[in-house]
Amino acid sequence: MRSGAVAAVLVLVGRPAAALDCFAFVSSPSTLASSPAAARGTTLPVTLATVLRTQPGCVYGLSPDAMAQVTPAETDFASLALVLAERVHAPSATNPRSLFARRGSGPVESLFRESCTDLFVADRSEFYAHGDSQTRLPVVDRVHPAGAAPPPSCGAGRTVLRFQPLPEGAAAPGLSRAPTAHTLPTDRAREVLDAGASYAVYAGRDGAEAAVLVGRITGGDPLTALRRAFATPADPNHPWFRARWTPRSGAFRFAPRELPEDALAELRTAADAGALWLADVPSGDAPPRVHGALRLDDDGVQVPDAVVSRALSGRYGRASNTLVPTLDEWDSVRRGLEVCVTDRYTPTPLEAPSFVPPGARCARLSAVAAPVALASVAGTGARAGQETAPRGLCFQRRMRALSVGGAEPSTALREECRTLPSAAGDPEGAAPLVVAMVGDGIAPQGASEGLYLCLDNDCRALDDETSRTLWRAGALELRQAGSAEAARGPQGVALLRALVLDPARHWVPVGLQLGGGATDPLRPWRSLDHDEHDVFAFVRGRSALSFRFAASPTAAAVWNVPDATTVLTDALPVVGGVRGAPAAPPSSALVVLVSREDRCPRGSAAGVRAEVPPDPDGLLVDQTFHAFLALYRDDTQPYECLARASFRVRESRALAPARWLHVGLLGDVQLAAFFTAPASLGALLPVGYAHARLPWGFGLDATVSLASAVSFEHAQVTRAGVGFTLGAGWGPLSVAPRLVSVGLMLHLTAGTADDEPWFSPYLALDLSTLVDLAGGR
Amino acid sequence: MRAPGALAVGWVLACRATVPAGVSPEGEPLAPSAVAVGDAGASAEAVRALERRCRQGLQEETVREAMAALDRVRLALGAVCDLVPVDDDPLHWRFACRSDALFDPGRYDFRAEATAACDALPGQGRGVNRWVCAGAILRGLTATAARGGTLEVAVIGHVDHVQIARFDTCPEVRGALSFDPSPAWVPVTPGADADDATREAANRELSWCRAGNVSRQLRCGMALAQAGRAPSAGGDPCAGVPAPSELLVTSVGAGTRWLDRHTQSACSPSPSGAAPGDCAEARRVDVLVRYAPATQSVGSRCTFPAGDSAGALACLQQCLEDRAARRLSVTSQGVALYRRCATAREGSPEAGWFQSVAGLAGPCREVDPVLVERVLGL
Repeated sequence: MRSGAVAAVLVLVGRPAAALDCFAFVSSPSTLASSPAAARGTTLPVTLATVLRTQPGCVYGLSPDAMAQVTPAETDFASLALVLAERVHAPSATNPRSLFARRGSGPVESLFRESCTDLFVADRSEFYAHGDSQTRLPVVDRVHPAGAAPPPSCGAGRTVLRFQPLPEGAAAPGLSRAPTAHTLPTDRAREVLDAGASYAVYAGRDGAEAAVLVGRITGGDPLTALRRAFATPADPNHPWFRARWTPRSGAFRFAPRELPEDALAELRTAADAGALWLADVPSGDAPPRVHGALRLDDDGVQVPDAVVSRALSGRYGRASNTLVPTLDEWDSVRRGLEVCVTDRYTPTPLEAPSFVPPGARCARLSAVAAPVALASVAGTGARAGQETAPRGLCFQRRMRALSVGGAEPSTALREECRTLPSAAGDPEGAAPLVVAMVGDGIAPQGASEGLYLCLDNDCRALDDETSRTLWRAGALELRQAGSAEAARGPQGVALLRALVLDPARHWVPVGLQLGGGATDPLRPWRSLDHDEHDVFAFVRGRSALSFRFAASPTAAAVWNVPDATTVLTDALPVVGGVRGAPAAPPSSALVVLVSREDRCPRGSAAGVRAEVPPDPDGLLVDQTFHAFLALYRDDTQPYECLARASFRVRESRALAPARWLHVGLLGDVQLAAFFTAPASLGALLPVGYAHARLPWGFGLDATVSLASAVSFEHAQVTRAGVGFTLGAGWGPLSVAPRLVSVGLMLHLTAGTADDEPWFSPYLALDLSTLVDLAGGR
Repeated sequence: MRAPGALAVGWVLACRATVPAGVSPEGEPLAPSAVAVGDAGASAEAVRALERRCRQGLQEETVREAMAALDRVRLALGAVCDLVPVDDDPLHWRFACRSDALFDPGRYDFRAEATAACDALPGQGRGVNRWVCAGAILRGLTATAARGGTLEVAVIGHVDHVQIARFDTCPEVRGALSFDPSPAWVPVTPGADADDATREAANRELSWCRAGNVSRQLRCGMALAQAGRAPSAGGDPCAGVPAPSELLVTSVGAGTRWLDRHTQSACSPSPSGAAPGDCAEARRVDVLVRYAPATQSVGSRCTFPAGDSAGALACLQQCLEDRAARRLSVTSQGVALYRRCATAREGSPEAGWFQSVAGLAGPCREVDPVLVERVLGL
């Protein structure tokens, strides 16, 4: 500007209240410079549009300690600052707000850039930088365009904005004279910037090259605290959620813990607004399925019942309705889910989509939620106290002896304890299932408050004395819950599982002879023919050792999980005489062992299985043997006998009018010695007989027998014909029952000789027994 | 027992009467589980607060008034101080002042040039300390009932290695700010046989005294403005004036930390006649000021009813987008000058620092030394 015009301009705009010696205002001074406070000041404000003139004899600088002479000229704040920066400092390092000057040794005086210039892009007063609502592109508008009212302030009407692209992470120089990609000149109202780019914003006097940095603009969507958390790789040491037990809800909840406070507040509100969803972890190309809006209450995130049920159903089928997940299964649920947040919040609540839409941000629960752990379950809520965590559960087990009245426990007690898992993945959680019997005892270790024993979803509190005896059969779960009702909910946690059997009902004989009474389908052993109440009849040649197994669907499902090494089937194989084990299919978990002894076979399962079991059809009449319902774990462990049934071999052609009396046809052939004259040796063939069993191997017999003997004296046939005998017999039961007998025979048809006796005492030896002892028939 | 005549028939029947098949004893139906449904419904108020906090930095009026107040403070302080925003936060500033323009070498009482007329106080024609005037102007920022808020101030004094001939441990400043360092400071008196270590210690203590004196004047100005009183003539201008309720101020004596952290090239050559010492740039007083408007007063552009979660989130998103579009830097949300006290730090600040805190009641708060060191390049 020519000097002649300066005076006119000064008159028009008014002089600053304070006249600084080294700075002369030419045009557009700050309004603040005219304030009374500036009158006595040693510094004055300017705008970026203020034109000033440097004075001869003065030195100038960006700091009062480093000044230099400049050529007197009309200039402005940015231009003078750039000259000084290039002369004294690096221009990129400075973003000056003050310029200093001094004449000789006089006092320091300064100009400072009025703070409103810092607000060019941070305030709507002169410029409005924002995202366009339609295009979402960053735009910058002049709030007071040329010619509009009210007029701009802070020199904005004579200030040009320049937008320099700013690479990510790069620092913007404080001063610039470089050409820029975008410019908002004084005669234009809007400049549209590129999407996604960042810009350094420079402001300078219209017509001047130099400009100062007044801000930055970044396009694109900003990240809210929650979306930023979603976009950041999860830190496994600081998971967002921790699984915890809430007695109030009786459910496992993933409670938000270590999210930043902002993100946590946003998480809660987004959940309320339906903007958070729970979805499957993606698999394949299809978008993950959404399980609905994520529900978040004071206790944390609740996994929908359907998700829990689906996870259990995939493993247990229909039986899952009566089960709750274990810690490992909860962890499996956790690993299969992710939390998603909508790409953009809307003013109205969102409906959860069926599938995760593009743009949504998701975080897998496996990454943002800590693994399920019992410590976090037990350490909170109502059971915070002295002993808050259950430690284990002991089963006081007894083998059962089957009888017509049921299953009687043996006297030998075996205690089997299980330590409860403390976290998902604990070895305790993968321990083999205990198989117990109805009536076995339960002894908790540690705290029992809040624990429930559930048998096929029939739950009782563990600290209730009635729960200390297994009251029914089924799949047993030790559940943690706030109440019995909550214990039956699908969202509880099963700390331990076991199988409870009732052998009197579940071990079903299918090849044995029925007694005369009515059959009871629920008590199959009660219907069997038997001698004593705990010795069942095995009719030689007619009975078969064939058994079936029946249990509740839940119990079977709990055992027959996909990775089970043994299976529960309805068939119970009688094992023995086999070496080795098939690799597939899996062996039956329950088997029947047959033994002459009433003790459970000892030794490894492989060894026991290799032995040939006794053949009941090869046993002598009245001999006994035992069948054991046994649990097979693996070949290295012994069979675990759960129940025993005892049998006595019975003739095939006999009836039992009473438990102690057998009546039959065609009894065993006996070698008989008759002691009355003529003494003779012969054979007796009972055509019909009645045998009364006495203790210790004794018995009484009454027969109608065919007899024939040879006299010792005359070597002639004697006693040939039919006779009636009464006798008493004995034999060692385990080896040769009915071995010998003594008695008296009434000869009804006594041959032809007159000296044939009517009565003959005799001593008889059972030839069938001898044949059996000699190796069988 | 049956009749004998039936034996044969019975026998035949008995031979055929075996159990044909097992019958499952399980007949009872299994009950499905009950369904537990939890309660949902978190308050959207927290998100509203987030939005208010977001808009706190976008409050054009607040920012504009704050900036206007800053310009007035700069006018009041004169040419000796430069002003730099902290982290581009429009409500967080740093006044960088050359202490040579405020204090004579080795002294903590203000030079005569530090006094000027102030129109922010009654009796504006009378000269008052420039920092008293600055305090009065800043008080006007928080005085607006609709805006309220607090001022957080940290005054950091620096020295270089000027040899001190006299130092009285600024008892009146320490008394005003209730600063009782331990171990007690040792005065240096002319003619006394003070060793170099004592003089060096006094030099470092001088940095706190200068910072404390600036703090005292700032508090004084705010208190006077709050009370609507003119400063008393002579003596302590703030005598009898209650401390301002909305100011938290910390005085830090950083000793020679600035000089120690900078190379010699940061120091301009000493002109002839300058005060003896190593570096004029290192003799400085930095004043960090952060204005925290009351969050409750920050309005929202959204008009959704209270408790409307979706509306609250949309408003927060809108504010964040506005802020992102207009942000000055990635940290334009602002960096807190104060933090909740980790421990009781009174008298035991960062190593080599002297520090005292005065101001707001409530939970213990302390200047964030990390921020201070970063902003000042210490």
